Amino acid sequence: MKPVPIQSETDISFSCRFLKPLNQLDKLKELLFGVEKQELESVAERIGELEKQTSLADTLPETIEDSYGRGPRLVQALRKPVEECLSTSVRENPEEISNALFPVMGPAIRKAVRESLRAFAQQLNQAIDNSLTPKGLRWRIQAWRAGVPFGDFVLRRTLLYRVEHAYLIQKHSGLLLQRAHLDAAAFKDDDAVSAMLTAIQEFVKDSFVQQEAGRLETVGMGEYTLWAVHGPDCMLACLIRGVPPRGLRDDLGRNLEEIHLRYGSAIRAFHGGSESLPGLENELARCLQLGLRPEEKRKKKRPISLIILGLLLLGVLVYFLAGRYLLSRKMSAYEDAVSSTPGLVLTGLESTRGKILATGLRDPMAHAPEDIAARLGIPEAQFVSAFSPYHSLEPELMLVRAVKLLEPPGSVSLRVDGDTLSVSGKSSYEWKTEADARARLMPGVGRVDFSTLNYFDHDWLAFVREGTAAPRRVDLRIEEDVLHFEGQAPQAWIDALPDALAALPDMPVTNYSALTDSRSVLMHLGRQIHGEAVFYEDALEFKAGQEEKIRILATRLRALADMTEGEPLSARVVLVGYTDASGTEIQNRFLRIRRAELLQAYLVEQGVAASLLSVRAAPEAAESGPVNPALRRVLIELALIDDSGADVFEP
Amino acid sequence: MMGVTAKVSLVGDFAVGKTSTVTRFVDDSFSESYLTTVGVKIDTKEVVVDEADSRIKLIIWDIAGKGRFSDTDMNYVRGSSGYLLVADGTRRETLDSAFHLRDQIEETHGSLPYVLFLNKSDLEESWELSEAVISGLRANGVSTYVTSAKTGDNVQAGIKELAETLHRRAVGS
Repeated sequence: MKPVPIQSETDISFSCRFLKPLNQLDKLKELLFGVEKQELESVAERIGELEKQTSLADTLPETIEDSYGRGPRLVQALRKPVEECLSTSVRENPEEISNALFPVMGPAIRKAVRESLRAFAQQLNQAIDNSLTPKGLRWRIQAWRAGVPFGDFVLRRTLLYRVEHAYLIQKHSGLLLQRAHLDAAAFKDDDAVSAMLTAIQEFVKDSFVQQEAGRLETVGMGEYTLWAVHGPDCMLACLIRGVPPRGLRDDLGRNLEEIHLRYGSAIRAFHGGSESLPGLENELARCLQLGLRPEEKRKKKRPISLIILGLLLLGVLVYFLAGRYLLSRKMSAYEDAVSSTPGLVLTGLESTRGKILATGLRDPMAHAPEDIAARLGIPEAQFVSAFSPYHSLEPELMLVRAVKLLEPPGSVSLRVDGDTLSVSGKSSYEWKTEADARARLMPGVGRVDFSTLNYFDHDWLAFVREGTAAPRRVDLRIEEDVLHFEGQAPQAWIDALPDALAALPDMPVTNYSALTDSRSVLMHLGRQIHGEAVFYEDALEFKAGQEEKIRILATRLRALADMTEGEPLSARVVLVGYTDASGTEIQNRFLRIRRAELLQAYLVEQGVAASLLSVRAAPEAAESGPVNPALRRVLIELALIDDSGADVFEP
Repeated sequence: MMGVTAKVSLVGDFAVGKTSTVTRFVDDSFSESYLTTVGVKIDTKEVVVDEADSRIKLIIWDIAGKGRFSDTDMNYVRGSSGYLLVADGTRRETLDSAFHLRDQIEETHGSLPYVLFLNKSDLEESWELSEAVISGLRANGVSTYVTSAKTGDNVQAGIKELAETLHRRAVGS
């Protein structure tokens, strides 16, 4: 069957217009094809709409371009729906978006990581460099003073920087859009600098990098660093003095983004006139605000504080060294002193925290270690000692120990020679016996030599008597190794006795306190004799009871004779006879002499030397008178005559 | 306040006297060693363009001379508002090179204002360009100046014409 060709709309309308006058026919057609006609019209309408849509697709791009050119309305109208579309898509189908972004995300992340690592390596390099230079050492000291870790300090110091010049350069032409300088005196023609920077960018990029994305970002020149931050239409080039931190690039990048945001279209349209970029210089000036400045004032103060610190350190060092030196001198002096002291052995000497600690052995007889330290001027608080006891066999110490143990009398001298203890001098037998027993117990004593020790005996006493020319009435005796002098002697001899004893060898302790002056004893005795009277009855009979008196008198006279013997004095005793007035003068004169003679005979009979006594009658008789028994007597008169013949007796 | 600035490229064949042509007239100049190292050196020249004392500052990119631009050289030209085309009047072939460079520039960066310097006019005996050729150039709308880097003849005038053209375009735009 041959297919029926589909008629176009034009054909259908043409046939309709052609059949219009035939209303009958229309009605018939209405009746026959009413339903089909309606369907045909509906189809024709849809085809018309479809054709309209086709023409809209053609015109839409132009319409959008036109709208965009007229103003921001289209962008504003589309922004919300587009944002919502993106947000919905990210939420509901994140994989699609991430796949789409994948090619750019990787490089972006890698770049960020690479930049971070590079900045870190730069800082690390600086830290290492700085740690080995004089500046590094100075920083170490400063960090120590400030109490911060060295690494922190280095970072803090190396992060001092300031942005001194900033250029905003149009990317494709190298024309300077705007510039800002910290120092008003710019160092070169800014436009030329801007162009040259761009030229160098191009040169580096084409010579070495050969990539569209590659570009020069950092140039180092001594203490200056040039940083170029790139935007789509312009480049921000900053000349920075010091070492900028990584974060500064982010700050500069943000500034550049802001500039792009505000001036993007103006920058793109820039053809050399700066009037089209109002306010841009303020944006750029913000870049100069970034940075830290060193504190000039503190820098100036530092040398003075450093000098003070240096002096303080020097003072502390000198004090410390001087203290050490003095301490070591004291220690060496103490060591010498101890080594030359018998009975002390030093086994350790050290200093801890300014104190001297001495350890060793000490004989109980030796000097105390503390005393030696005190003698050397070591303060008690600075000295600590720990000495263990021991017996020293050094001769000096053995001798001290022997003296303490044997308690020898002054007449005995001890001597240690090797293991022999020699005892010499004079002692009592008792002491020698005791000393012999004790000495054998002493450590280190092998033999006791008494061969040169003599006892105190009669021969020795006679030797002493002769040596001191002791008078007859002085007695010598030895008692418990003490020599006693007793009796009477002339005062001059007593006074000279110590010297006489000192001249004698091996003398023990001597006591002569019991010696008395013989002259004063003589006077006392003389006063007891002189003026004594012996009474008679009426004739030549002793009165009753006189015999005892005569006997005492005789004793005293004998003593007197004894005491004056050998003295430079001679005693003369005169017996003078008396009578009363009764009786005759002749009779009485006879009685007076007889009575004296009678007493003389009686005293001689009692042992008194006759040569001592002489008799005499009282020169004249008393007046005759009554009987008076008190006058019937013999009076004794005494005279002591010295070498010159004078009577020295003091009644 | 910054005035109007314009980037101007200085192009031409090797040894046509580009550098010595402008050096005497510029205000500020980088060392010529840049030419051999980087391949470009920058000079600046401020020109008074009319009676009202309007000024335009030309940033002159002196691009190392070769018969043909490399990619790098072409990048240096990018962003120029105009250029000075220099040929050596004593060597006819340098004029061809100059037009070849012009064609390269126009191909890459579109049509830009330029003036043509026919240099070394002081070397009269070796001069190779007839008046007819020069008139022909002018008749074709090429602003042509017969210049001498040695005497300074016409250099100022040529630079001024380019400056005025660029100023008009900058202010007008």
